[in-house]
Amino acid sequence: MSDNRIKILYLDDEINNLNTFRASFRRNYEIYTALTVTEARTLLEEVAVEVIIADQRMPTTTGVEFFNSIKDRHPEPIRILLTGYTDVEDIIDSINKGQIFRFIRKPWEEYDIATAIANAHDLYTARKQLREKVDALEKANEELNRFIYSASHDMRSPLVSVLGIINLAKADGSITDPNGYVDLIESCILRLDEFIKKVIEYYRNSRIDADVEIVDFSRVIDEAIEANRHRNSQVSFSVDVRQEHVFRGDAFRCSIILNNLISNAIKYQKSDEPNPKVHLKVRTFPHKAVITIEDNGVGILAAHLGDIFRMFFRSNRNDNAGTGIGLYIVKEALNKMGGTIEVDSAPGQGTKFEIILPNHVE
Amino acid sequence: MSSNRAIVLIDDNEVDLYLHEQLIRHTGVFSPVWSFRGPAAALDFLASLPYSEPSATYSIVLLVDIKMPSMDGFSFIDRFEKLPLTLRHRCSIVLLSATLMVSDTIRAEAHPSVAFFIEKPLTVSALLEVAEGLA
Repeated sequence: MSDNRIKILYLDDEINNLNTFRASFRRNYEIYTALTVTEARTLLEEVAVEVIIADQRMPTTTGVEFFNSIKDRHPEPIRILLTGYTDVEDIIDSINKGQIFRFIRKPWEEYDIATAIANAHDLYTARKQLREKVDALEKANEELNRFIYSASHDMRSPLVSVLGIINLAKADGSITDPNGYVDLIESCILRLDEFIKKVIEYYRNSRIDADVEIVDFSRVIDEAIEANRHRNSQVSFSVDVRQEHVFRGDAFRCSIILNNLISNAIKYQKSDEPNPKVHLKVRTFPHKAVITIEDNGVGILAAHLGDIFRMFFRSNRNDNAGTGIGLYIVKEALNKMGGTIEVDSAPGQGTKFEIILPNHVE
Repeated sequence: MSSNRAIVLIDDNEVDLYLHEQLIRHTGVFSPVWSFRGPAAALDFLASLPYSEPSATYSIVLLVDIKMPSMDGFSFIDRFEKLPLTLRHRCSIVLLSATLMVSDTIRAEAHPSVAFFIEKPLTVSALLEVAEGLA
């Protein structure tokens, strides 16, 4: 029981006040009293009090000065000032300098003190919980950072070794493989590697702050096409970018979005399509940019259209290319940028995405 | 030209070490090849080379993995830089990693002592690029 009582330090140069206070409240609180500032300081070093009550008028100092002097070393306890007179300057001073939570006029009423202490304690508890939550969050974040770091390395490094072995085997021709098993192994490894890369990309997207700069969509699109062309060199691209207004936005996320959509447009081509193509169109306006990307690939079932932006959703579980994370990353990146995406698709005929991004005017 | 450029491989991962050795032998651009699983042993080896002798003419490429448990690639460079200048003049450092952390890549590419940064897997073309770049 005594453990749960609120710990209070009361500083007053008049012993009678201290005694009266003790007599009135000792059943309710764990009370520590001090006649001098020195005594009060010593106590603060030893006991983690939650509420400090100080008299304003003391012979060598004031309550406000005392509070001001301890605020760096003991910022947590909530401060209550007892004052016999109400000078406005005094009040302003104490609020600004001493970070006072409540004033109580002397002579005090028991009820006022009890209310003030209860409120002060609530504040103390709330602040403490907040600090604990922040600490816990910081710890969780740090662990997540470490996990991502090790995932990016420790999960990837054996995969990369396997890829290296395959490279070597191909280079020195030491494996006879009439059935193409090595190529199958390689494609599986590349898929897993792609998945790890996507997870890291998602993580980076979720944590990196937006950096507004001028975005050159022609360049972003060219780079994204270049990075993905190797997936299927048959696909022909047509790019129609007209930037009549300078677009300012988050270039990093623009490239994440375009990279994922272009990669999908290539991956989800029909194997029997004689003329696979992807058309990209960008128009900029004073307050937005509109990007469309259209392919003549496998398309998406109407029943799946509502789910494609969900994490780990895959429209076709048998496809060898999907990780179920690309469009989720696109959606998350758009959320961060305040953009929208709409999709229109006909199975067997193709898919069209339309993206609207807000233009951050200077 | 292949005879006058040696390579020192430093990687805690035995598979990669073997792999890189084979790949380098296959391309034939560097010879001899010295492999070390620990950076400390590699430093000892480098320090023991008779570099002040005028007869020792070949240059050395150090192919160093970034993430190693005892000493990472960057700490390796710090220690390497305490070795005699006559030795260091003959060496070029190439850092290697399987990392996806942009911070590592940036750090490696910005490091004044790093000639190249290569993402694993090491390929024949990357090796040839290094050989050409340092020619």
